Amino acid sequence: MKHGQRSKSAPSAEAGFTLVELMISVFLLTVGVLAVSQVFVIADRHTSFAREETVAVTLAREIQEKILSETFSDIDQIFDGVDTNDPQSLTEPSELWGEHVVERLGSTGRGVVEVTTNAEDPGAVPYGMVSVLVTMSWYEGSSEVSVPVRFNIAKIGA
Amino acid sequence: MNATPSAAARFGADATRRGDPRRSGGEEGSTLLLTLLILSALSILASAVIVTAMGDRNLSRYERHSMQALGAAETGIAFAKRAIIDLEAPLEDIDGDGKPDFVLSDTLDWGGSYTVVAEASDIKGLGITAYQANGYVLVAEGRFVGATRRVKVEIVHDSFLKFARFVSATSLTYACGAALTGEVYTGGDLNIPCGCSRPCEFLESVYAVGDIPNSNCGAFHRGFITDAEEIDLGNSFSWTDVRNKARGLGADNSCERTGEVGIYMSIPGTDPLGLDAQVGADDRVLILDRFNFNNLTLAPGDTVISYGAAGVINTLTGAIMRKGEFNGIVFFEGTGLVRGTADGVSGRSMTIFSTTNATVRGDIVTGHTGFDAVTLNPDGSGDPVNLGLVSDSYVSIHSATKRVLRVDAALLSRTSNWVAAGTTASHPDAAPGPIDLDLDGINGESPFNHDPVPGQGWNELTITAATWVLNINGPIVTVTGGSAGPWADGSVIAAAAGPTRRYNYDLDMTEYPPPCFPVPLNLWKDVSWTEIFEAQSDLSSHLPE
Repeated sequence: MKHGQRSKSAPSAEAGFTLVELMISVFLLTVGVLAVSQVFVIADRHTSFAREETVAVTLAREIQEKILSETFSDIDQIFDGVDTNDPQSLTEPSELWGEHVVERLGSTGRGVVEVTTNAEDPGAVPYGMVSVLVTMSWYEGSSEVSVPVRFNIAKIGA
Repeated sequence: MNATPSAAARFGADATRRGDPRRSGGEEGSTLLLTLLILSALSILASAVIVTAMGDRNLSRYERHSMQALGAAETGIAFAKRAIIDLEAPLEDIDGDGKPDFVLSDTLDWGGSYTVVAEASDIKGLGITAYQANGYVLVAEGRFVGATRRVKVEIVHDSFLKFARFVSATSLTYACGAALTGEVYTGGDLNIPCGCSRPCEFLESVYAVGDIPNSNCGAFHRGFITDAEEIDLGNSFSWTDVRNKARGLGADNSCERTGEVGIYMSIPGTDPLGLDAQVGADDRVLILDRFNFNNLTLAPGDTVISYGAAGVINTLTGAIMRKGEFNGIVFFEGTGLVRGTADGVSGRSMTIFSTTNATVRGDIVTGHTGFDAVTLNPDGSGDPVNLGLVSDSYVSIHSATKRVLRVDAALLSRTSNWVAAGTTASHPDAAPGPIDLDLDGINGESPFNHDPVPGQGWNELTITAATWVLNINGPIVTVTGGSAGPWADGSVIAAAAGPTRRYNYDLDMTEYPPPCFPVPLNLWKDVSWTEIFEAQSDLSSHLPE
């Protein structure tokens, strides 16, 4: 008899809970999927940034190697003012680098080399040295990101 | 009022039941549970993705910082190099191993920092009093944020011997057709003519502290550098150091780790070779032929050094000098006169220092082969024999040398130049011949020796009074420009059938340098660059023992 009573009242209770359950489920799923999708968007942004940053560092290393392999007295003349956005500034040793910057960092990618000599800034650059600043930059959305790499080179030959 | 399920609820319940007729009371809430499971899975996935993304980001950031740290390390190396070159390195002996060392450390204005430890990597030699070493190993650690990079660089003195012609203070001028096979350095301008049928050729690098006005008129096969750094010749060595090495009185008297004493001459008085007893034109002349550095008979069981018939006394031991005891220095107080042949049979490489003039008294011919120890015949093995002639004032050619003269030696004048003394009349002719004037290994080419071009040049078979040929084979390092004297006389040139002066750089000199030959005080070069991928150990542990 108890069993009969239970089975008699249970159907209506189960029926209502199932609908609410469905609604909550749909709601939770919607919220969850939206949240997760945002996470994916953020993750993608980070991954993309990381990739660009790694590429930028690699490109900075590439031009650094070229600068270090050049005769000291020619470094300022060849590399100062090199700007991948300005094809006229790209000399023979930096032409290929300019192509690589566009290929790997995209159309917004840019590499700039500044060489400071002792004659230009004796307070900052000791005699017999040049200071080199390589700045790699690109756009993430609407904001510009830049990676600066600095190093000094000493003259030890004639 | 009884609770009545809505139609929709009923429909849902009915539908559910219709959709899943097997559903029982135990499955109630399973949709929510499934949803939560899905959400949990999505959360885990999202977490994994974000962790991966942040990992990538951290990695790329570290790479950037690492790159900056490498830049800081390179900057530290640059500062250490300049400290050595500019004589500002705070030389100490921190580890007490007898080798000079120093430490530099600084924070850079862009946030990086470096520490450099440096230690002498090579023996103490000549011309390096200021540095107390021939080379240095530099180990630098660069730091930026959390990244650390280490590099190890070795630098050594560059050599005067690489220069076919080195003039520290004045300009250099070459005529049409000049061909320089070694590097060229001038403290002034390099002047070359235009409009030549054969332009001046420079096969190796050219450095001019000044300018090269007609650079487009020459052929610079390895390029040229103007506004070059001045190289200090005057302070390239210390006479006190050399004298002490010659007498065996210095802390380290070896040359390139060989020997313990040299031959010290101060005539009259100190004359271990008996040069003052030589007569006539040979009076006080060091005659290279008389040396035997491989004498096996004078002291049986030992290879000793003899000059003429007598053994050369080691002033430290009082006994005949053994072959291995000689450091290669022959030192003259005052003027040293030299001629003769060191042919690789009984000779060895030497550097002859003269505190005033070094005078070439006749042909100086050095061999470039080893020898058979039994037959004493040249056999093409062993090290070549090279000679250095170093003076404080002139490296001069004696006024009575023959008109055909050969000087196989690296010439260095610390404060002056090289000069051929005498007049056209004072130099006796070299007749009759044959003589290999162009040193091409063919003795007696006739009617032309094809020097400088086929179909032209001297007749080597018939040497006459008009035959003037000066061959200098080796680097010429001086303060000012030299003078070939009578070999450059207008009348001599007018009567010449071929070149009267031939300056032939000998690359052999850099491979087998004369012992203790001075090195440029402020000219260094990189010989190695290595990154150290181990960043935990003490920085100085990467220095040589």
